[in-house]
Amino acid sequence: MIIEGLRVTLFGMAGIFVAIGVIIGAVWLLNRFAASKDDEETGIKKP
Amino acid sequence: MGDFLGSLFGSLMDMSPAELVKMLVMWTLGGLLIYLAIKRQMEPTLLLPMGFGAILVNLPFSGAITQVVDGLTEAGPLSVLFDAGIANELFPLLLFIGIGAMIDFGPLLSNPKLLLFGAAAQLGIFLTLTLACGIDALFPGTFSLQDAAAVGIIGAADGPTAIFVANYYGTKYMGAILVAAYSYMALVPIIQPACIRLVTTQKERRMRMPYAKSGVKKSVRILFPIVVTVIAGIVAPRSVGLVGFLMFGNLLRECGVLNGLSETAQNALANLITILLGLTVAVKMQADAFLTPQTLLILGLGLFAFVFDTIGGVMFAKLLNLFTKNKVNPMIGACGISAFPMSSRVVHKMGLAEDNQNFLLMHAAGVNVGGQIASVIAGGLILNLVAK
Repeated sequence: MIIEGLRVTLFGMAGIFVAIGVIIGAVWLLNRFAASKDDEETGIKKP
Repeated sequence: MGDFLGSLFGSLMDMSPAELVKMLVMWTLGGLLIYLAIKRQMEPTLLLPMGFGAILVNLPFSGAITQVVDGLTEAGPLSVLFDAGIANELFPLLLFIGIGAMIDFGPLLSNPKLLLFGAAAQLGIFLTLTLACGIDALFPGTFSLQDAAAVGIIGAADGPTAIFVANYYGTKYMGAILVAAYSYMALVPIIQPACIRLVTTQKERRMRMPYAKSGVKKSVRILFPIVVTVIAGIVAPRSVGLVGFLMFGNLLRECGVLNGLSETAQNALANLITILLGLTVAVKMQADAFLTPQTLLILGLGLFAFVFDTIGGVMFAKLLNLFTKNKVNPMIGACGISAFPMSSRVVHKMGLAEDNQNFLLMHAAGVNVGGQIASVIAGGLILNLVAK
């Protein structure tokens, strides 16, 4: 059962970091999208 | 006279001395939880109902729980509530709506790398699971793998997640697991400073982290809960209930058009479910199931989980500092547990104690809310990796 425990530990911690890594990437993209959207709106507003 | 006294105290007289002693021990434990809740203000929202519930379910032939009397089943209200809200995982999920509505993810969204510390601080869950497996290898029959998973989730430092996972596996140690989880959450101001001092130097604790407030766009705040739900759901499908309800509550808060529902979720809903949850989990604190050697072991394993959550987060921060230009104060790694906002306040106070110009609160709060997300994902991964 220790082997099972170690397997769960390895895959569990790896899984958390993968999920968190993807979320970080998604948030970075969201922040960029939101910032560039503002730039576009500023661009449209120029005479 | 004898018949009269017998009719009044018959339930006590029918008990064996051993049963009587167990009952008194559980009354004392219930009283202790109530004392800690009121006098020491340790997690009163849960410890007080749990303490009172422990007394209710440990009265002889208690009408609060289902009893079989002369072959007839008499349903007790706490057992009915348990089946209605805990056995089907409903209460912890509804509570998560309220918790999600209370959380401001702003500090995290302005610096999403802080989520990494939340991931690292879940180490205690998995180490505890492995340790429980090791204990079973030495003393066969102590824990099944499912019991070990349920015990490990104490390290999530999150009540609803602990209830959800423990109930999913149907572990008989649910009472001990919940007492451990909530008690150690209340003891964070004692456990974490000791662990942090163990693995950091004074120079490290004094590291300053300047905070530059940057706004977070409303669109990001609205899309974040949806994106997190989808990602967590793909990585750990069984976490969708936990993550989804938490993020739904957050979406109610951030959408800006449902302030009434957000207020209700944060206050009425959260308080109502907390009342029912605290009383109802006491169903698992009946003496026969609770007073076992494994209970003491679980209390010890729970402490181990919290200690290694803290150490995991701090050591990860120190590891990151080896490779990054912008160093972080390693203490904020300890905030990656889900005990929000207590852990961030503890680290902020420790930072000020070392250097009264070092304000770590916003960084610590960002890591702390990240820990909330990471702990729920960890719970979901456990459900995926350990079959029922």
